[in-house]
Amino acid sequence: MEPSLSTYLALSGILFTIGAVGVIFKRNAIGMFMCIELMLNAVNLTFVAFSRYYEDVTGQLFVFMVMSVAAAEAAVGLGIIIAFFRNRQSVDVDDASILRN
Amino acid sequence: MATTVLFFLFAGLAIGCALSMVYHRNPLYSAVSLVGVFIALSCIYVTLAAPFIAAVQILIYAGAIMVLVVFVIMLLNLDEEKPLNRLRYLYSIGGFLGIILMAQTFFIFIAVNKAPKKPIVADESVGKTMSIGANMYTEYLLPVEIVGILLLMAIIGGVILARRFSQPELRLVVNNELDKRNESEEKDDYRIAL
Amino acid sequence: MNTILLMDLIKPDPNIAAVLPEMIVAIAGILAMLYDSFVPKQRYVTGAISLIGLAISAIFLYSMWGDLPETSWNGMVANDNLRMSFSFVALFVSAMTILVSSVWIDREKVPVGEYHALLMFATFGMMFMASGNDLVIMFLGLETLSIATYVMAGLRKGDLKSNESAMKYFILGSFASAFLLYGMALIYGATGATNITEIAAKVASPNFPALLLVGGAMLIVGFGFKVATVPFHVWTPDVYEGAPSPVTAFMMAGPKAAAFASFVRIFVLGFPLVASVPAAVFLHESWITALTVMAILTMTLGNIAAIVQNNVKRMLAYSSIAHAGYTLVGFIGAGMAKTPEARDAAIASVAFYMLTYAVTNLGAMAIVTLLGQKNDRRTEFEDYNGIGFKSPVLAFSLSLFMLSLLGLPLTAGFMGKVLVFRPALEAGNLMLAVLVVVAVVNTAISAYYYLRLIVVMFFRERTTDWTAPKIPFAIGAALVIAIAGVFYFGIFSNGVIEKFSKSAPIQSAQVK
Repeated sequence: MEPSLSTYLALSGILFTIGAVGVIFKRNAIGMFMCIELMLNAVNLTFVAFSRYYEDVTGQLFVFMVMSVAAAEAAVGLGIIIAFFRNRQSVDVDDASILRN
Repeated sequence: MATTVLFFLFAGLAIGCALSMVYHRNPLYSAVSLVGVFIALSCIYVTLAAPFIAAVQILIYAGAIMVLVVFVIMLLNLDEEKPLNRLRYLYSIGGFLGIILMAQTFFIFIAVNKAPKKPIVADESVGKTMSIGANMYTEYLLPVEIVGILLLMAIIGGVILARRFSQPELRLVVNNELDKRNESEEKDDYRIAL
Repeated sequence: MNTILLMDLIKPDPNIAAVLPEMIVAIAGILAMLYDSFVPKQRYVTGAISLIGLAISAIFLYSMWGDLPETSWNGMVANDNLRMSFSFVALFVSAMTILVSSVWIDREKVPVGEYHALLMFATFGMMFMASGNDLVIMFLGLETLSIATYVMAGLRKGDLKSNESAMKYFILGSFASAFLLYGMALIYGATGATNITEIAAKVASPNFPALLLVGGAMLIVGFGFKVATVPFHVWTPDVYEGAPSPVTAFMMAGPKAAAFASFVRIFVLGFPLVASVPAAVFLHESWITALTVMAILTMTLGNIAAIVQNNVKRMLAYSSIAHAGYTLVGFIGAGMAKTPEARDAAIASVAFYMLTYAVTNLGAMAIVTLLGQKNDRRTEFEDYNGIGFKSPVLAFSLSLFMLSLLGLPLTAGFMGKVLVFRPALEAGNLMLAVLVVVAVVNTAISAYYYLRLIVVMFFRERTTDWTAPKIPFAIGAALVIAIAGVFYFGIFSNGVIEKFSKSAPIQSAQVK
């Protein structure tokens, strides 16, 4: 069975699902962040698969932009996590419960 | 034929690594599993004849972002998460979301499968560095400029957040109660600030 | 490999004039940052630089209104009224935020140069969300805005509330961005294009109609998070309560307006109704129905939850959720409009609603910031007990803003509500009529908590001693602008609304 567009999309969908469920199941901020990176990667696969299907370079350029954004997000997100850790000695999001009535 | 074998090999590897990332409680194991996913995806991009994206995937994701993540994990000296005591409803939300997304994936799979197939042409110029570069500096000039501002801003943001307390008299504000109790003594502090 | 010679290169089409307002804002941010690095002791100059940048940008925006080709940069940037009006809202929100935050900067000793630079870059992102005619521009604008806002929410690093708010905003915001991006990928897959004009042209004959449906659903989830609609609002109260008050003020008005700009552009202009094709009709009906259900839930839950809050910031956060619901009514009206003119008027009403909400809400948040004192610790309802006669200026202005949020006649909020509800009524559809009825009932419900704050201020006894704070110049200026805005938009709204809807957005030519 040749890998066709639908196979690539199925793989991408499965990875996206694993990432999305992981964000909810993980308790630790770095783990959640990594799950979000996985989701972005799954989306990238969709873009590249369609880019190949249409023989159109737009999708791959979009992927390139997404990668830059992911790098920027990583820098800022890890900064936020470090600031959080300094105050609480933990990155467990369940400890983040001051703001809940 | 080779493409087929390689695709299923790396697809299996990607899914396995992704599951292992979610499964492991030690963030370092998760990070290494995620690097596995990135490498597998990079190989899948090669089977899609997108060598540029494949290379950039390794350079940016595995090379830059994951190194940063691993660095932070080591810096914070994180160890295993405590045994799970998360709120029950989060599990049901997660399960529900998972089922919906899997159903959606299946729907996409069926819908696309029914559409007429086009063979994957490996020797197209699309996906080669040249076509990407040519488009990036012509049609996609504006997005590239915006990304420039975005990265500049990310640098500023990262510096502000990771720098040690730059606000000299800032102490940890754990609870406002203490402040409120002391308020009678420092009643006029906002006046000084103004 | 001589393909480069054979490939006919696309001209870059760099129309600098078309993105000049955005560029000026970005340059103001860079200048603010540079000035701060040379003169680290300053506290006001970077704010002044930013305000000047915003003013110049607004002047350019005004002068190019309706004066440009329909799209530029190979169709990446639209120059329609949707862009102009929402960009104007973004500039206004940003300028007001600078005024509101001046007192907070003094009080908390925040890194001021970086703060203003981030605010400028966030504005830059908002403007591109409004002007992007291509999914990639919208995505990049959204991320620029979001990343800047994550940092701004966490700017007070020693404050656990601020930390927690930044963390929650970051995790849930990126989670939402991933959904949004998946939606964009599927739309690209379904139509083979990322340009909104091309997508609109392909909606009648997409390559994979099913993917268009799924992609639209994912986009609704992603934008639903960004504009804070039920059931994707869970992050809103915590994040808005924990972030520093001026940043909350910005987050309530700015990102919401910018996200609505992209949301409206993708759905109203990108997924138009093509009556002859059943699949396109189904797509249109699906998103209208989904948004209607979402609007009803958002208004109802937002208002009911706001009633039980004891913290003013949290109450305003729920009220902001409810206002997202009211805005959706206008949005749905735009989607159901029968003629391009009616659609443009409806889009203009959405922009006008965001403007009135921004004016009122930023005014209210200016007072919350001033009264909040150090670490925003005075934000409970009981902290407003009996301030009415001790500080009449603040109390009367806050009452005015509450009445405007409620939508009392003669205030901006009333005109905004009338204008967003009208297109939905004119569509002549039973579902939309029900929607408007729900919205009006909700407005009545919301009276409870807006009036409660007024009652608390004027008719409650204060047990502890309290002296009214002096009103610093910048907050005073913000209050004057907000009060003037509330009355101006409430009484003379015609000029603004005409300006917002005069010339037709670009797609109307292609999409009949």
